[in-house]
Amino acid sequence: MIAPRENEDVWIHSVCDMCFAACGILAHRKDGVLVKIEGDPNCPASEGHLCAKGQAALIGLYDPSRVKAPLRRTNPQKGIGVDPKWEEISWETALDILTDKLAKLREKDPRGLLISNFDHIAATYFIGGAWAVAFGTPNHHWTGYYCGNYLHSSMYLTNGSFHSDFDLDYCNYAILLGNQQGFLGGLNANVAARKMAEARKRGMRVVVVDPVGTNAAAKADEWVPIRPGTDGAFILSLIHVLVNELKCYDREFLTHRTNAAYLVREDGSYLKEGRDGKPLVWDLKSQGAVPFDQADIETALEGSFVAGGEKCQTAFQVIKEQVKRYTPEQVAPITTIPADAIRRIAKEFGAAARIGSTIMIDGKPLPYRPVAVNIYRGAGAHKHGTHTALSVQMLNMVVGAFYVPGGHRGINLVGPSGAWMPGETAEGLVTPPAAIGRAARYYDFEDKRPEGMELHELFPISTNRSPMNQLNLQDPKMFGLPYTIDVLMVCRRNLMMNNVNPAIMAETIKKVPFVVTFSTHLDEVAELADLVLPEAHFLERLDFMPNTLTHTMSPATGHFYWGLRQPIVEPRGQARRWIDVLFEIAERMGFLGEFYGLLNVKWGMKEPYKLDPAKRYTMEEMYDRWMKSLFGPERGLDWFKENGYHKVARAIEEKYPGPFIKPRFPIYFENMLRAKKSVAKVASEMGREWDTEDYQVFPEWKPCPAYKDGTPPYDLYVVNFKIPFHALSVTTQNPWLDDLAEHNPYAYKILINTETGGRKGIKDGEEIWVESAAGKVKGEAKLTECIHPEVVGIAGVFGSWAKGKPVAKGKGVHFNTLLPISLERIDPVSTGVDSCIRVKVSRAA
Amino acid sequence: MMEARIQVSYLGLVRNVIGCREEELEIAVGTTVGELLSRLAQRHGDPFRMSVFRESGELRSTALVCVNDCDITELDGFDTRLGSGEKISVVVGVYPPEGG
Repeated sequence: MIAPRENEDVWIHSVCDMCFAACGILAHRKDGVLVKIEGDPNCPASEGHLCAKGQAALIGLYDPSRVKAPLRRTNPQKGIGVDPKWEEISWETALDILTDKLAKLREKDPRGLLISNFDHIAATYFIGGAWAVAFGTPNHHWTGYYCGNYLHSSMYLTNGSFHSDFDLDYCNYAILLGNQQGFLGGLNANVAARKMAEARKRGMRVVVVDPVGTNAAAKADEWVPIRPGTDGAFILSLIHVLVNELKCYDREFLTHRTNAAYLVREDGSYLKEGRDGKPLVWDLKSQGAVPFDQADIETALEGSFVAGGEKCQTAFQVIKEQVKRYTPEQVAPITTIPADAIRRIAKEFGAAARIGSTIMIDGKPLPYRPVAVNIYRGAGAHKHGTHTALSVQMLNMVVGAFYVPGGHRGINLVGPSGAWMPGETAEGLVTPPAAIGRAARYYDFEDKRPEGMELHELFPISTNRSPMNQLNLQDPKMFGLPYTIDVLMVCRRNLMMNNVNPAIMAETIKKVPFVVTFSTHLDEVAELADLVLPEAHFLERLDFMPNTLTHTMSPATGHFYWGLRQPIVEPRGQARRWIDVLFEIAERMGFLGEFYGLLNVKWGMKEPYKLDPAKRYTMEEMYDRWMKSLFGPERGLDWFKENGYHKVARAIEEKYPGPFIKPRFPIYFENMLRAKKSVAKVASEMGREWDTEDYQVFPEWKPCPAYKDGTPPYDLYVVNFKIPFHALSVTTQNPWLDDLAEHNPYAYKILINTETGGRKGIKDGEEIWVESAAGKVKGEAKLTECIHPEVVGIAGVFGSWAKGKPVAKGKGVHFNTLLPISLERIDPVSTGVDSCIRVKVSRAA
Repeated sequence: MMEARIQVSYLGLVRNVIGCREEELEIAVGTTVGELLSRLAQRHGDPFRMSVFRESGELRSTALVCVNDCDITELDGFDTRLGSGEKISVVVGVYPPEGG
């Protein structure tokens, strides 16, 4: 309980929640009122800095349009714009209704509960997952499509972690492909921005490859406008120039730290010692094939051989041959990037990599490869996004810029003080540590008929299969699951704004008999809900570990750290935190003890701090136990409230684990052959024809379906881009951030190239329609040079329509309205939604 | 041989298929988790077996077996020995919770 005191004037440690960077903040409370938010100098992620979103959170806390009490729908009719005719009810009544629905469902078939939860991948997100398991449903992460679906699985496969990151402390040349890392985008945005600024001062070169002249592009040394969905071709061309024209590649790294030297048969599979033995390499000393890890050999990186009477070649030889299809001259008409620019960038990148050089850090000599290509959603949100991301990783590996100073890296492949280490396959390749990606088994497939809505077994090399929830809801017969969804529980997630066309979404959600949403506002999901529960603002919440070591903490901070988000003020009205309510529901339904048991496992609780199933704990008590279990009796909740962060500086092996670990990194994806077989078998058992073509040992560039849709008048592509002072749709209702967007020349507009607009008779500032096969949107045209001539650009997740968001309503343009969804419009490996869409543009007048 | 009583609880999808929430069993002291799981597979038949195990006999990626709320992979795996009063949980449905 936070009791306002007279003449109180305090600064309180807490953590921002305006995006997933989760920066530490200091909140200034006077007489019980929050009056200022600043960055917390004690936080390794913010180092005392805070972006506009974090500072503006204050006004959002006191937003008068917040939901203040539970609401029950009285109008059975549902639809966009249909008044739910809300009736205010007590929490007791609301929980009675919800518990009754859930208890009946659990009795009938618990799998009929679908949970949509995100919580910025904080610890609470995983608590929600444990609750779902205790309830009995496998369906608990419909997170929407604003995600790096394809990215996470590609990173798990190649760097063994959840994210893509690069070392700004030493990097001298970075190519940002459809992302703005270091420009207030991506992981630990504040610390990355500061380090990027320092790197630029020392002469680091940044090349932004993006159809839109984004915030990052505007500040880069070079902006390379690219046709949407062709990033993979560009990257493969860079690889071709490096390995075939310039002969510039890191032989040492490729030979000994990857599987590039493994011998492969004509069918693409490894040549192995016996049927299930170790992959073989060619030993130049003995002129024979030997196990890859045999001592005292001289391994061939390139070449074709005959071993045991069978023709084979090294994986790297395959790569070299395959990329010959991507000469700059062949790729230029695909990407619209001139051939000489591709060749120049490749040359610059190769030279900057300083292959063969070392650097001494903390008394240890390490390979020094100060270059990186970084990728996130923009470049991969396409039909073949997995191939693009794997191409990027190949390029980073070709120059050896992998987990070494200056290069690409994942996050926290090695845990604090060896708390976790990467796994290793029988082929000697890296797998995610169990603590990070327990079920990311990308070498070992289970040919089992899917049971969850996400159809995991049909997408074995993926992390999040949100679009499959939607397709299964739209048509329950599509995959013939033995149950249907009766209850949809939405926890702080706007499925209407952050998915595909809202008309499709509304019809999908309407199919669910009972929808409950935890919302701060009567938003677009609430409009379709049966029950709305008032959600606490983050400044009213208690959350331990809002920034998880396993998923959202960049090594850029130089630390491992654990933080506490503590409430600054009491919740407004009757608002409660969704996770607290789930605990109460578990108690009412009689599975709280089992839920505690799962949390004991999930949190690795040690005695005497394990939760006792026979007892009842407050959230404060549970977090206190978790903290003490992790750090000892001195570092409990009170300590965290007082100090904010517990942090441990990273050792050199934890910053740059590459040279210190045994497993190799895969540059050749032989496991894809096995995945292909598994998927085909599962699909066959389900009686389905299935596209398995993208399971390839070598990534390719393939055109998105949009390339076939380009018949007049659908002559342009539309893309979405991020501006630094908004995140997802939740920030749009903030009046200070709205004010910033109003004054920004691009945020609420539709960007169209000046020449293209002129050709269509469109004037700057006039209203235009943008129409795809799925839907159409209207907005103010912004004629600009800062966009590719074939592209229309729409920022953020704007264009809200809910009456309960009066600040956001009608502001900006809703990009997702233009997006269709179908099996043909998702990445067949990761399920990422293809947002490469053809549109026609016309004057509204 | 000393007999021991243990409590086995089933969570998630395995509970749905075997229709059992928890049970008490008598085992010989020192029985391993692997031996117990074999006994449970015999007791509950194919629904249990298919929910928990792969054909190779390994645990499915979505299955978790715990002794006193500790994942057996943190202990001695299938070789973890059991004593009296211990609580064994068999959990199925731990899908990769990878958000974003």
